Amino acid sequence: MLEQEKVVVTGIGLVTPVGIGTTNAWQSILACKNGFGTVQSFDTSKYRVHVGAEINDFNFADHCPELAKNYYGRTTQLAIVGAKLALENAGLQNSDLTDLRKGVAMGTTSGEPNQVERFNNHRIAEQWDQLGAEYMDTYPCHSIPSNVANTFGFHDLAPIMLPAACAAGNYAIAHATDCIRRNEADMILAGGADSFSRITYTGFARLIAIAPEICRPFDKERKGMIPGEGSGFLVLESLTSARKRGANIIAEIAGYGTSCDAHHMTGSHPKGDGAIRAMKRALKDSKLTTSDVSYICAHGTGTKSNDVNETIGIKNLFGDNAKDVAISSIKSMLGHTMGAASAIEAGICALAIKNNILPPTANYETPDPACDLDYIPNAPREGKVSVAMNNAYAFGGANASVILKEFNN
Amino acid sequence: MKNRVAVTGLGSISSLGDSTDKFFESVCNASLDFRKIEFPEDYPDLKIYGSYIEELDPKFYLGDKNFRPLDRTARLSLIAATQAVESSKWDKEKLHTNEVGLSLGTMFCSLQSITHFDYNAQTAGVQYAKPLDFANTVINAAAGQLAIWFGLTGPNTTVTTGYTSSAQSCLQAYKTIIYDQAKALLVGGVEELSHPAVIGISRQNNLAIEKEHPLPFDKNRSGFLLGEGSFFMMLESLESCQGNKNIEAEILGGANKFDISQGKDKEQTVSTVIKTINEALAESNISADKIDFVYASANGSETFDDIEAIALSQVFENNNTPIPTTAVKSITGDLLGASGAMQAVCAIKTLQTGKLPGTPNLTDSIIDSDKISVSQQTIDIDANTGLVINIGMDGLICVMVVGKLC
Repeated sequence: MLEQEKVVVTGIGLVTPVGIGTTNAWQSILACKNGFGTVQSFDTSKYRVHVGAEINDFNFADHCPELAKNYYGRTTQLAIVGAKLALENAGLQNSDLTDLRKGVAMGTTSGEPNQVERFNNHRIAEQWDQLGAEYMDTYPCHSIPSNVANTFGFHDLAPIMLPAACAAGNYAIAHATDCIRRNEADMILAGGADSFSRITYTGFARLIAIAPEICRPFDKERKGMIPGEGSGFLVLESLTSARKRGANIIAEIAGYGTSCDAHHMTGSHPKGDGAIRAMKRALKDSKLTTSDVSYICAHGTGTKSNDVNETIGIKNLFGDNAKDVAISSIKSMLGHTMGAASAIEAGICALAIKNNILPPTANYETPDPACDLDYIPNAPREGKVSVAMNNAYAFGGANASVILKEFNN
Repeated sequence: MKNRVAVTGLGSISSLGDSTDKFFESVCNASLDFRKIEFPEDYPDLKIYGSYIEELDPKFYLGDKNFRPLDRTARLSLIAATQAVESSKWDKEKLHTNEVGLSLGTMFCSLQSITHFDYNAQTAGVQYAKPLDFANTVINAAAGQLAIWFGLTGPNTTVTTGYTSSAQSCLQAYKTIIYDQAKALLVGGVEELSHPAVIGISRQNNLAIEKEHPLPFDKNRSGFLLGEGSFFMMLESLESCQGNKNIEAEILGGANKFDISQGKDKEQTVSTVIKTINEALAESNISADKIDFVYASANGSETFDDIEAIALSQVFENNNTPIPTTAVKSITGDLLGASGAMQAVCAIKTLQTGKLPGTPNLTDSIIDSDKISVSQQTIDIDANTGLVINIGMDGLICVMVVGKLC
């Protein structure tokens, strides 16, 4: 490997069911606020479940009035606002960045599924005349990072969409890390976005994977996940660039690891095989060991199988250290924001490092013998967070672990 | 010192052939296969032609196995990927042991399956939405299915950058190998001709409605026609495979860029295309006069064919002889996200056979430069190095350089 640039986090933008804006989302998570409610965006009367994690107070025009006239899908809107908040958080909103090589790397599970739903609504209603060019201008998911790139002038690199389902945000961060390490870019907006979708909700409902009321990851009484929506972006920057402009460095991307279970399309490997390989690769890439890890931001969906398999994977890799590492699932509050999830969680890892606060797993009541690690139940914990591992697992068996660490000058 | 990247296996399926040799022979023979697309009864009545596979039976290629979990996109991918794996002498055990990864480029992946899943739930009832089909509604479904099929436990990436998706997936894989992050990767592209995509693209006025074949680089062009298929390559670090593998070709380099004008400012788009080509040449340590042929992106688009022709004439302006160029989409149709892989596979066959396919039906060329030569017929050339160009109407541009191993 050639000599690498260091990659640092200089901005975080979060749009979540528990708060829009990085500070709002962080404070809500520390307060164990639930983002769940009765689904508003479509009729669930024919479903057995009715709860979702929608962002009901999200209004694109409030955040980007100058763009309100444009036709964007909801995922694109969430992404643009997430990216804008990340740039503001980095203090870049009014900066002249023309000398920097900038790009956008994104992940998603479904892109703009609402456009497919629109297509079907028109088909069923025999209203083809109401389907215009906007359908195909909007649906292909690569249009989302292209719109982010256009909006903020981050188009020195070709924008890219890496749809790795629920691990997609981490895949985007990994890609951006490579680009900066290889000195192809100075600054990349890396993140993920997904909007609340009838298709996704129907699928998880049919898998009987949706919890009826509340999400309780790692709890013996857990009943499933709760689909959500959101976006998360990190401003990733080469250390050279960050130093040059005197940026506030929140954390460093130490490394990443990706793998595939090659086992099942919707279920994780029962021994955590792929997850272990992703974590191992991430540690190797970061030149760290399991004993260095202070905190694991778990995938922690709240389904029976995920939480057990994830626990098995951590225990197999961490061995005796497994009981000592603090683990939590913020999906207990946000629900599962799909392709945005691991990007949002990476932002939370960076905030945990910056503030030396471990975010909790909410709604945890009954310990499960099969999930017997420290899940930081129901309240945040103060403590030194030097190294945070962010784990994400996805349909198709895609796994991605990203490790963030405290930046030491 | 960067690694070099060898192509050790190829795989192809489209309506023009179900192996790379058959496909390339059909392309060289200009065996056009555009047929009227048959839509479901409740779709708009459109007369649109496309090049698609009438009956796709994976059992014919892969034996009597359970293909129910795989939708059409995954089946197309599987057939082409199997050819690439087998021709590169990998087997399932070695792929698994070596933790080989996959990079798949696609613009729409399983749009047909996604649309059908929702349509079925809305019309028949939520209880009739099949959990098995839900797995195919994520955009990385085909890549996940291939990983399960072949035991690919390495990084599993789906790349969507529109028309350049599979070119970009090849470029990503190339970089992964040159920077020693992997020794081998299965890379490719897939695009299914899905009804929702056809309707959508027709609404953008990009398709050549009621035309029986596209006319790239022709003054009478009026848009493109869609194709479908899948094309795969096994990429390996040259150092790890030299001496024990049949090496088809070498990926010498590549580059990508984003043109924010997306063709609206012609001068700017031309400039971005030229910059991308020049960057790809520089990455490959090769000058324009060493390029022997070009697989152009031209598909019949009124705007972008013109832009590409101007860009090519400027890139090759110092050449003494015109650069042989083909618009292969005149034969295959535009395979959208699979185009880059298809063109790369064709370019490798040109390196091996010395045959550069023609651009049939080109009668009134827009090219007024003596630096570019586009022939109606397949021609024989001395081919050592070729340029593969992908220009998306969405502003994304990706260029690759392939060469004979030397």
